[in-house]
Amino acid sequence: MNGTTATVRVCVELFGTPRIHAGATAVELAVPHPASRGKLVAALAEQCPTLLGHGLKEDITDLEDGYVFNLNGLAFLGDGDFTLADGDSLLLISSQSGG
Amino acid sequence: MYGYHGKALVVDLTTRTHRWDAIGGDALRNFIGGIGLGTYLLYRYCPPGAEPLGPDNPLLFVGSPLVGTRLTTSSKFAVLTKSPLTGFIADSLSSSHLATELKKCCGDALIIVGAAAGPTLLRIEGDALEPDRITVKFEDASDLAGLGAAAKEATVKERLGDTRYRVACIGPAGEAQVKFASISNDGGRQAGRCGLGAVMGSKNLLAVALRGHLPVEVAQPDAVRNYGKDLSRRSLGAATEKYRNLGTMANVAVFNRLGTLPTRNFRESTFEGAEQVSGEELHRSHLQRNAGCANCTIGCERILVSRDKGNGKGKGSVRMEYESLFALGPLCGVSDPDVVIRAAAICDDLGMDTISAGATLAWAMECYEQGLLTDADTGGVELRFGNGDALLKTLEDMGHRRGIGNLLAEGSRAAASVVGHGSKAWAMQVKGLEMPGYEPRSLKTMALGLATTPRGACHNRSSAYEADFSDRVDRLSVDETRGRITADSEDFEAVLDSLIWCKFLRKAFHDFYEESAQVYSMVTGWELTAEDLRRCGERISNLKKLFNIREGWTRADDTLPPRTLEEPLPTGVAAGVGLSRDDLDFMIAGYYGARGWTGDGLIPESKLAELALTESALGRQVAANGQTRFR
Repeated sequence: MNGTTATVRVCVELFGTPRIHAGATAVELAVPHPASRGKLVAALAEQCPTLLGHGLKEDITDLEDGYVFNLNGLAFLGDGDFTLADGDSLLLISSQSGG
Repeated sequence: MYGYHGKALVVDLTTRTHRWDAIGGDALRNFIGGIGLGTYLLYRYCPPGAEPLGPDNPLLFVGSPLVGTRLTTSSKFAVLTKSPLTGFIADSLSSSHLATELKKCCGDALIIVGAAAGPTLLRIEGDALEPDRITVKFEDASDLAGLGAAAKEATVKERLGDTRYRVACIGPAGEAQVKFASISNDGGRQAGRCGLGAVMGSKNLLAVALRGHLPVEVAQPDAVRNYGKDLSRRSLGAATEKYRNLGTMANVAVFNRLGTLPTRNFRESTFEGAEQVSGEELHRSHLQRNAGCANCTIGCERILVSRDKGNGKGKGSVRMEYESLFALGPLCGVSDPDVVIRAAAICDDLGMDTISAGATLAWAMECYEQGLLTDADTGGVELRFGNGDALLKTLEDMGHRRGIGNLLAEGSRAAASVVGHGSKAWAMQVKGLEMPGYEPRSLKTMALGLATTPRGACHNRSSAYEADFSDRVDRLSVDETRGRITADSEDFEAVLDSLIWCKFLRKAFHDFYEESAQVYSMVTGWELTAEDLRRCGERISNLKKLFNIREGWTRADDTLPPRTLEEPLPTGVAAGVGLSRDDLDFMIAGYYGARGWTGDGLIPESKLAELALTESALGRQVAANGQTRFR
């Protein structure tokens, strides 16, 4: 992206409970630049309010315990902040990986 | 004694006798219960070199200190023996009402030795007025022979005229000694892996019915009750939401996206039909009802029904888990959910481990496509990936040892030894146990766990995958941290499986070891610290290994199938990623180092002494009353 773009376009892919509550497998979002964890959560909550309490904390500060973001199917993102680039895919999935 | 009874019921099917053997307090404290205590008892009661399907091999049902406390998810028991599939330790868990009845009827464990002359129902009943008095009956079970597991359980209850009996039984696969036959209880729950049902079948033991009255007492009942309320509340939080909503089926779509969904016999790690058999889709289209084990607040079970309801050819509904779904779906190239549901129902009814059944079939499908198995071998069945009818037909043949099913009933490793021509390279097993649904090339820490866990390729005894599904490691590469992570995960699972807590509760604890130690003390009255509990985990892991060493384990047994070490993944986000032998050996060396073992993976005497696992130390843990009669 160039320095004058005001937003970053990303795709949030939904799995499990969030997918059922959102009624969609993915959500396209425009996140204010520079995109961060907090801005992503806020944008996701605005577009999919049904995720509150089902992946997103009710106070829209972060993911609920038990959920995690994965970037582009590769790196799992910890509790810290992160930056995103145009075209990134964020996977919203349960951190309970067993079964 | 609180939390325990300090004794085990030993039943000899050959002599039709029974006795109580005492279990000393040191053994109970050191090995806790469940898998841990079961490993200790197996080590003591299984003669070295015992033939797995011979009468000397004991079959153990083991309870735990938490059983009967009504703490959430604690209604579990362990089943152990020497595996006919691997020749090493076989340790499985099952759950629900049978766990409590086992403790009320047989004390801390039921140890079955010998073999009956004919089909037998072992009926054990306690006296309501004198709970220590039990009646053991060896009843003719000819009428049960050939019945499916569910029908067998129902028939036993009807015959005994008391639905309060709890029943463990085998299906036709156990009777036929299929090497990966399971033991079923409480309406379809399975002690699934390693061929426990074959051992039960080898003893001509078709079912065990238990009804007991021994009191289950805890040291601090008020404290346990209050703690239980708090834990139950936490068990309903976000940490278990996945299991409460979709159950383990939720893994399919995620694993596919992450390139970790084993497909067509591990040739690929993504499946084009994954969405069709995903938990989300099955929840929408095939869910009949939710269910759970006794005393469980999570309720992870999803009962699915096929659209044709079995089509008049057997059960069309089944309790579906991720492992059954992956093994009978993507691993065999099958994306029709009705076929997968019916296949899982067939396995449950025949009493077969769905993972080993699916993985052995996937091996056979690859053999067929390579021309190593022909129509002459399969009876005209086109055993190709994706052929649902062939899958269903061959599963039935496996469970009854008919035609090609007789070969496949031996498991993929043994079948590959017969077929030859390089087919061992795609027999996807470790130590003879078929691999679960975790692709090792894109989950490198789990690769180490699969290679080293004592019972063979297993996701329940090693949770090393948790690191891979987090920001702790790069799951696609290898580094020196994996040995310690894997050892710690095994020890953690050992404690979890010995207390016994459900694995799905693990993230509901604030501090697992601290809390569990406190609960143990509340229940038993014996002080135990978090560090003591960690030590128990290490001790149990080492004793499992010691059992295997005694039964012939060598360094060469800790490895992965050639496919995973020679072929990079072709599809998905992990396309091009492989796992070299050097990288695996590097991780294994780190694991042995973290364990304090030798470079060859053996346990030094100093480590055995440190963990009280020398022969003399193990001997001292036998009850002091002199009544214990170990072989």
